[in-house]
Amino acid sequence: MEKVSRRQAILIGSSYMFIVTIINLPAQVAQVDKQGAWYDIPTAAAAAALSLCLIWAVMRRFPDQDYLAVLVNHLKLAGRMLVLLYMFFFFLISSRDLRLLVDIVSVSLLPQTPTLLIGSLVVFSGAMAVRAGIEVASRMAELFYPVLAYAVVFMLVCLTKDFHWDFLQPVFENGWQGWLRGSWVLFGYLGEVIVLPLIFTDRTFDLKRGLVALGIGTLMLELSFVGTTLVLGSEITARLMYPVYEQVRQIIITDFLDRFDLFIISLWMPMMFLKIAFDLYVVCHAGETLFHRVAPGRHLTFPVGLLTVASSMWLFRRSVDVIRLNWNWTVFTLVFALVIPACSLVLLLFRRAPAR
Amino acid sequence: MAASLFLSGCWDRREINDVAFVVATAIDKAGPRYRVMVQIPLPGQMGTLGQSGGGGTSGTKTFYVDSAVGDTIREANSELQLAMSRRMSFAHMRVLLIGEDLARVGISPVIDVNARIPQNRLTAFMLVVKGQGGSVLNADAPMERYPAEMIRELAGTQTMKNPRRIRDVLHALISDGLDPVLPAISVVKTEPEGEHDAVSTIRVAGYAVFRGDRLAGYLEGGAAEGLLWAMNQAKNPVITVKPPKGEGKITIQFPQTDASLRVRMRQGQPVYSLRIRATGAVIENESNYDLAAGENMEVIERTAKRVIEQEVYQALAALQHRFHADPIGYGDALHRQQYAVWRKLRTHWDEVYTKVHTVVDAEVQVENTGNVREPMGIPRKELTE
Amino acid sequence: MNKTTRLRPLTRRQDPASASRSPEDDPGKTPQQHASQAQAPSGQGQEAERGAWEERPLAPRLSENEAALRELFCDCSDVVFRKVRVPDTEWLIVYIDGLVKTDDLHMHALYPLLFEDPEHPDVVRSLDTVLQMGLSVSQVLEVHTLGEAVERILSAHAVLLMDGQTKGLALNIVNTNRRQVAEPLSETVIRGPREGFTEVLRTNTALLRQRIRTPNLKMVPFTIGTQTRTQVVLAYIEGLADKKVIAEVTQRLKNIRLDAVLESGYLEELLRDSPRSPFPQMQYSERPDTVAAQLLEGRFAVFTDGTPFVLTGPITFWQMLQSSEDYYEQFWMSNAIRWLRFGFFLIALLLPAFYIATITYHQDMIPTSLVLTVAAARETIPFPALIEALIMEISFEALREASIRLPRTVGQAVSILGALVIGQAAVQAGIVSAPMVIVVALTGIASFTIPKFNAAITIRMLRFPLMLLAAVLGLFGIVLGVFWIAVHLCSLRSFGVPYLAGVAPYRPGELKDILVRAPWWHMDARPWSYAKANRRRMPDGLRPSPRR
Repeated sequence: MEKVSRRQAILIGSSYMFIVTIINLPAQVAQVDKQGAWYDIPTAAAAAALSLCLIWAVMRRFPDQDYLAVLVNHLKLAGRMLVLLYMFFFFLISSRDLRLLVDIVSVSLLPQTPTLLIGSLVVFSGAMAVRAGIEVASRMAELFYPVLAYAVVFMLVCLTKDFHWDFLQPVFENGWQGWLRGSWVLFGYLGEVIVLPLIFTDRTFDLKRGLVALGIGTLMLELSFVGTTLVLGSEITARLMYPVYEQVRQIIITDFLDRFDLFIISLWMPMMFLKIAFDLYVVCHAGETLFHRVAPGRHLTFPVGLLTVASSMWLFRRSVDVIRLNWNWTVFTLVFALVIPACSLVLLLFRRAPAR
Repeated sequence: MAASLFLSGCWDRREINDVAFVVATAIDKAGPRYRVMVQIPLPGQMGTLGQSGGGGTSGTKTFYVDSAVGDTIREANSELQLAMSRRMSFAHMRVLLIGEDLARVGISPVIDVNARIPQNRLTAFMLVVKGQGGSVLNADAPMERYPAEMIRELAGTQTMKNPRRIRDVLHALISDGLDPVLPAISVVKTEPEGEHDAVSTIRVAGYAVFRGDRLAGYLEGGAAEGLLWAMNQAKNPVITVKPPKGEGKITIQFPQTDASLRVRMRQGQPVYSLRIRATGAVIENESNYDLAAGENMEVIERTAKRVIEQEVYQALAALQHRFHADPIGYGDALHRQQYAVWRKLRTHWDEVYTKVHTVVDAEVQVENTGNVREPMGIPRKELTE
Repeated sequence: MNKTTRLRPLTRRQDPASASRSPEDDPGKTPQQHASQAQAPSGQGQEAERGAWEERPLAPRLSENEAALRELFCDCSDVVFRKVRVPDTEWLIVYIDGLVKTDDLHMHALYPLLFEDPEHPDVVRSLDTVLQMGLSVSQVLEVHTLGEAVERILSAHAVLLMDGQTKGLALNIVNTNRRQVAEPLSETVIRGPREGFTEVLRTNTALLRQRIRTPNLKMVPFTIGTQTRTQVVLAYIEGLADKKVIAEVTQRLKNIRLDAVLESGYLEELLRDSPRSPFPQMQYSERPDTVAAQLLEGRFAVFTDGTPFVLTGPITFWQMLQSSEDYYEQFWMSNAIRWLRFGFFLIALLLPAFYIATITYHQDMIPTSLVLTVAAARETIPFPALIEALIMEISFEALREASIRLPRTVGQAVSILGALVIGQAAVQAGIVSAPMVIVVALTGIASFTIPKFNAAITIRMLRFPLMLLAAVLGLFGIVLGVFWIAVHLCSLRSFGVPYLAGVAPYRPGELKDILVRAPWWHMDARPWSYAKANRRRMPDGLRPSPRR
C-alpha cells in the first residue's frame, strides 16, 4: 500500500488553509481592516507557522508517530483528554465547513432543495472518499487542486482590466488595531493547517513541508483576497456574504462570455468535499488513536458523518451564526494550535523516543 | 435517502419554457410607492428557425412589457408575477432604469434589492431616464430585437470607457467622497424625410449627476464631455477646433485618453491637479488650413489642449458650484492619497469641496491625419499657411 | 468459475483420488513435478469427469489402444484412423482431418513407414529408429498415456502408435491455413503498420518476435479451459517488467478454472483487480506494434489462441486516451490531437448532463442571447429536458449498435440517412429541439474520438447516471457524480498500479506522455509505475542539433 506522498500532504495542508477561508472571510477582514488584507494574511500565517514549529518540536522527538499518537502514548491520561478535545475540535470544524458549503450551494445553486439532503449527500461523498483509505482522498486532492489553482489564476487574469489599483490605498487605514483584528479573525481559519501533523507521521510531514504548504496557501489567499479588494473595493466587500463569489461574477470576457460564476463554483466544490472528507478522517483517526482496540477508523466514518450533518444543522441554525462565530472561533484555534502544542512541548521537552 | 431523491422530485427544476427572462427593469415613483416595469422578450416571436408555432407575422412585437405598483420593489415584483404565466427570472436583467422622479428622491433603496438575491447581477448597466422610466421600454428601437438590447448597447459602447454598472453606483454610494453619475437617456423620434416613417428611438442625452443618492442635475454638451475627460471615462471623444487662420473647423478624435487626479497639500489646503493625456487623429478637416505645413499641427494641438481644458473647467464649475456633487472622486482621492488630511476634513467636506482649486493640464498629441495630408477638395492656392 | 458442466466420458471410473490437475496444464514441468502434483489431494471435483482413462498408460498391444481411442472418439467422423501394416509390425496413425496438414502427413509420416529406407534396408523398425531416421517432421513429442495421446490428437498433432510399444509419437504438422495477416479492423490508423494479429497463437507470437528481438522476451505458456484447452501465452520482457506483477499474473492465470475460454475477454474478467468496476483494467489490442510498445514499457501481454485480441496490463487511465498513431506522427500534431481528445473526453462524459443542468436549473449560466435562442427552440417541445435527452441519447446508442450489425454495403448510407432523416423529422415535428440534436451529435462524435473501444463504452454508459443526477440536482448533481467517479478512479488499481498513476500520484516526468507527447529525444525514461527496474530508455543528448 502506498502512503500519502509528500507532495500530496503539501496540497492537503494548503487547501486546508485556503478552501474555506475564501468563502466568508474576506468580508470580515474588510470590515475591520478595510483594504489591509494583504498584510493581515502573512501575519496570521506567521502565527500558524509558529504553531507548526511548536508541534514539530514535539514530533521530532518521537519518530514514526503523528502528534495525536505522541499525546496518547507519552502523556497518558492527559494526552487522551487532549486527543478527545482535538477530536471535538475537528468535529466542530467539519460541522462548520458543512454548514458553509450547504449554505453556498443553497444560495447560489439550488434554493429550493432541502438543505438536509444537500448536507447528507456531501457528507456521504466525503465519507466514501475517506473510507477507501486516505491514499484515495489524497490522490483526489492531487487531481482537483491544480484545477482549482488554474481556475483562481484564470479568474485573476480575466479580471486584470477591472483592477482599480487605488483601492489598495490608503495603507494602514485602521492602524494597528485593524491589523490585529484582521489577523485575529484570519488566524482562526489559517490555524487549521495543524491538521498535517495530526494525521501524518514524520515520514510524510516535516517542518519544511509544512511551511511550504503554509506558503502555498498564503499565496492563494493573497491572490483571492487582494483580487477581491482590487475589483470590488473594500466597502462592497465588507457587506457581501460571499465576496469571492461576487468577484467571480464580475468576469466579463466579451459580451457573450460573462457568466462564469457557477462554473468556477463547481470547480471549487470537489475540493470542499475533500476538505470535509479530511475533517471526518481526522475525527475518525483521533477516535482510532484513542480506542484502537475497539474500532478501526474506517467504521467510524459513516456514523461520524451522520453526526456531522445533524450538528451542522443544529449548531448553526442561521447562516449568520457562522459569521458571528468567526470572531470567537480564533480562541479555539489559539488553544489547539498554540497553547496545547506549547504545553506539550514543555512537558515532553526532556523525553525522547529511542532511535528508530 | 436515495428513494427520497426520486420520490419527492426535483425541487429546483424549472423548464426553460416556464421562465420569463426579464431583460430590463424600469423603476419609477408612483406617489409614495414604486412602479416597476419589466420587459420580457418573447422567444416564440423572435425565432428565425422557421419552425411551427413561431408565428412570425409582421407587426407582432417581440417583447412584452408590464408594470405593477407596490410599497417596495419586491412587492411590486410579486404583483407583476401574479399576471404572468411564467416565473420571472432576473438573472438576465442587464439594464436597470431609474425614472427621473425616483432619482430625485433617492436611489439607495433600489440598490439593496439588486445586490441581495444572487440571481441579480451587479454587472447590470444602470441608467437614468429623463421622464418616465417606462417610456423607454416601449420605444420602437427598430435596430435591435427589443429596446432593452438597444439600451444595453448604447450604455455599453456609447457612454463611457467603463460603463456604469450597479456595482459602480453601489461603490459610489457607500464610499464617502464619491458620488454616482449615470448616463441619461430619453425617447426621441427619428427624423427621416416623411413624417409617417418616424419611429421612436432612444438617445443618450447627457449625464445625470447625483449628490449622495439624489439626482442633482444633468450635464450636457461640452460640460458632459469635460466630466468624462476628468473621470478618465472619455470613450473616443471628438473635439472640434477652429484653426487660427482661415475658415471652417477641424475635427479630431482621440482613441487613447488617460487622466489622473493627484492631490497635494499647499499651505494646509488640498490642491488638485488633473493630468490629461490624449492621443488622437484628425478625422475631418473642412477648413482650408493646411496641417501639413510647418508648425500648423502644433498650433492645432495647442488649440485642442485649450478646448479640452475649457470643457473640464466647465464641468468642474457645474459640479462644484451648481450641483455640489463629486462624481470625479475628489474626496475619494483625498481619502486614498492624503488620509490624515481626509480624517480632518471629512466632516465638512461639502464646504471644502466647493472651494477646492484644480489645475488642469492636458497634453494633446495628434498622431496622424488619416489618408490625406492637406485638405482635400480645396485647390492649392486657397490653402492658408 | 466452479460451475462447469459435467460431461460424462464413455469410460469413467469414479476415482476422485485421481482427480487432480492434469499434467498437460504445465507442459513445461518435469515429470517429477507432474507426479507430485498428481498425488496431491485436490478435493475439487471439477476435473473428475475426465475420468481415470486419462492416466491409463498406453497398452503394449495396438488393438487395445485402438479400441480405446475409437471408443473415446466414437461418433467423431473427423478423426481418422490409418493403420499401416508392414511386415514386422503394425502402425496406427490417428489424426483429425482438417487440423492436420495432410500433405506433410503423407510425405513425412506415412511415406517413411510404408516404404523402406533404401539406405538402411535392414534396420529393425522401432519407434526410436523411425523417429531418428525416418520422420522428417521437426517437432515430435512422446506420449505415454492415453490422456496425453488424446490431448495431442485434439491439438492438431498426428499420433503414431506402434504395436508392442507403450509409448507413441505425436507429430506436429499443424495446418496453418487460416485467416491471413491483414489490417486490423478495430484499430485503424493513418500512419503505422497495417499488420494485425490473427486467430492463430503461433502467428501472433511470431509477429511479436519479429518486433522485439531479444532473448529477454519471455513467453510462458498456459492451457486454460477444461473443455476448450485453450493455449494462452504470457509474454513479458525480463528485466523490464516488475517481477511481482508477473508473479501475480502467473498466479491468477493458474487459478482460472473456466470450462471454456473462447476469447480473451473471458480471461480479462478473471484477471482484473476490481471485477465490479466499469473501467477497463487491461487493454486489448489487435496491433502488434501497440503490444510491442507496451511490453517495452515494462508491461506484460496475454495471447489467447483463437482470437486476435491480445490483452496487456497493467494499464492506467491515461492510456485510454492514447493511440499508437500519437507516437508515429510529429509531436506537435500529436499534442494538439491529444488535447483535443482530452477535451472531447470531457464532452462525451459531461455535455448532455451539463446541458440538462443549465437548461433546467441554471438558466443564468447561459449567455442571454443563447438562452433566448434555446428557449425559442424549445417552445413547442412537449417533453421536459431530461426525457428529451434520454430519448435522443438512447436512440443514438441504438443507432450506433445497429450500424455495427448492418451489412457493410448498405451500412454507411443507411446510418447517415437514418440519422439525418430521424433527426430532421423529429426536429420539424417539434418532438425534440435542435439544440438537443446538436448536443447528442457532439457527444456521439466525442465518444468516438476515444481510441480504445472498451473505454468509450464505459464513458458512454457513465453519462446516463450523470444525466439523471443533473436532472435531479443540477450542477451540484454533476459535481457529485464527477466526485464519485473520481473516488472510484482513485481507488482503482490495475495489477497494483494506481489507475491514475502519473497525475495522482504525481511523478514529475510522467506528464511527458500523459499531458503531451514529448518528442522522442525527450522521453528518456520509462514510466515509474511499471518499470522500476530499468528506467533509462536512451542515453542523453539525442536531440537533433547542428552541433551533433
